[in-house]
Amino acid sequence: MRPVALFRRWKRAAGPVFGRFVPAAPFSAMALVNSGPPPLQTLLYDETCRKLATALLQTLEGEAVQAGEAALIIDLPGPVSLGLGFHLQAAISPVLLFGGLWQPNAVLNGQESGAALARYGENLSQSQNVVKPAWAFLLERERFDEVPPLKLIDTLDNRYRAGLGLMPPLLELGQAGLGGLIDLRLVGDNIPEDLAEFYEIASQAGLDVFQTVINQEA
Amino acid sequence: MRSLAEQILKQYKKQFAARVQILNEWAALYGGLLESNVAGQPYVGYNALLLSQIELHSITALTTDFGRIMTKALQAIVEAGPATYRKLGWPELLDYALRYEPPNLYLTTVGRFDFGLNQAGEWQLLEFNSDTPSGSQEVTLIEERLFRSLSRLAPVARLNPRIAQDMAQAFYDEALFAPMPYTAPEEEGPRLLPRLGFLTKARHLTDLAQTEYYATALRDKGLECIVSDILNVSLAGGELLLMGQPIDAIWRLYPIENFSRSPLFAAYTQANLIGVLKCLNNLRGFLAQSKAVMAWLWQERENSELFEAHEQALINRYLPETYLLADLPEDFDYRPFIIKEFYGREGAEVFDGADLTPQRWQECREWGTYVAQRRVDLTTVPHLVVGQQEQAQLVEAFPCVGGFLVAAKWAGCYSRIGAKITNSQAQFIPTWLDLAQ
Repeated sequence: MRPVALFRRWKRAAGPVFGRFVPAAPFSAMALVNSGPPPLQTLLYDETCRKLATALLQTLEGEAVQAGEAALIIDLPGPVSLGLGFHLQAAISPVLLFGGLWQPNAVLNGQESGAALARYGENLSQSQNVVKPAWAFLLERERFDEVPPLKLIDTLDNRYRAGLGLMPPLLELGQAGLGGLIDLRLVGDNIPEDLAEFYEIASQAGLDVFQTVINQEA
Repeated sequence: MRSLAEQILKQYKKQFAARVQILNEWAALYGGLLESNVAGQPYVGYNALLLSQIELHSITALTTDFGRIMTKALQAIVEAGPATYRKLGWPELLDYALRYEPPNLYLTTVGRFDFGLNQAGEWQLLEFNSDTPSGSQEVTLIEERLFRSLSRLAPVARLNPRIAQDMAQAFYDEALFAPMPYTAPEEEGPRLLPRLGFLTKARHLTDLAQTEYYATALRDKGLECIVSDILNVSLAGGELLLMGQPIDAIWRLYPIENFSRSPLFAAYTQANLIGVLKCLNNLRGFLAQSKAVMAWLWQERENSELFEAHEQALINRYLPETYLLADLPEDFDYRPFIIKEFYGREGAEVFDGADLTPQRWQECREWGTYVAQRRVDLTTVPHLVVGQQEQAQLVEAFPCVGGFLVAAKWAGCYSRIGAKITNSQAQFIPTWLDLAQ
């Protein structure tokens, strides 16, 4: 599938309210840097993501999101974030917010995430009936990973921040009826500085911010 | 000056929103305008600005003339020394570097004068983006695409279809112009092809794409180019390395006010001063971007030792009167003026005097880095935007027309259209010659 078709699929899956905030960067990386989507690969985390999505929908947090009261902010490794968003789609609209321009010889090279983006993108439901007024914002945790300084001598640093520039404006979150945000990450992973800043601003704007974690062993 | 809005509305009323979407998707994916969605609004407008032959002739001449005037002005400022530097807000620590950096071939390799057309039909110079102007992909890739679809609606012509080649040639020539240290003897013989580094903040995606765009064009001309994030800069034996490789020349798409806070900035400056690193956009070009220089220019407009008579006339007629706030009395009537920060970008830190409170006026004075420029009564043109219901909506909007100064000559136009003060929400639209007039 062509990058532009994939881009449109992810935008449509995000729905009319937040679809216009889906960044073009990963699709541009496919189009310009990598000459097309990466070859489809077996998705290593797919089964885990499916189980996780099923379990998540049955939690109190999952119910709050399905009711449109709060949105999930999924801050997990790229392929897992994509897989979870994909498997939640029947109940929650995935809003892709990957904002890095993946490149070879860069910190974010998109090798695994690119394959997952293409594979899940091709299989996203395109029916507008599927789009629910309930949202999960998908972030790639690698965007703000620590990198050994020596690695940066010859590896392009294309990491980026999730914050006001990447997330939909707070006004739009409020207009969509959202009263809270639920941060979802692996247990032991502290909220990175970029999101902590965003949550602080969101909190000052009247949104409640909660956190829930995934236990890797589970 | 007019726009194609009415013809577009007539032809594409029902398809307008879809056309805007497709255009912006293409611009983002293939045109390098990765941040083409500003707070959910498209950056590329589906419209074109049309200039009459007279307007084009005028902006072409003004761009080249003001390029020459600014070159003279900067030479005079640099020679004037520290007292003048202080008045213009230049940091003392960089006095020596500004005074003694090796001269470049051009004041700016690729710069842009931004003009507004007043109600009398005359261009007025609003600012000079001499350090790191944007717009390269817009006036090449995006404009070519829009021209294919919109040029059938009216008799129009592109202003300079070779602007991409002109930009690449200017970079090439400047990169090969050796950085001769102050008082060094003339270099003999041709210079070997330098390895050119492009320095940017890679998380600013459009900047990254712009450096990639230039790097690709220069690789096609045989130059070895490296694109690097600021965190990929290292130092070995006093030599600056980008992505682990030594470089001979550098073009920085990164604000110098930020770079100067990095410990590596001293090495960058020193390497330039001793002639081992060519800085394509050097400190002089950066200072030229300061709006304080416009105030200096206004103050010196009658200086016949510096400017020829026709240059004085140009400043008087086409530069709105501009003052450093420090030179104005506290009770100055600022309401007819726009208050601008020396290095403010994208409409940031710009205040309309008509809306300015006395407290904010006082704050601007205390900050010491603001100018007051007389407000220009700008001409509007019809423009089309996508409305709330995804319908084509006709509005009156203010164009700001940039004249590209490439290798000291006019090379094309880049226009933004939107609110009275151009800000990050303003859309890009191409600028063409109106053959019907």
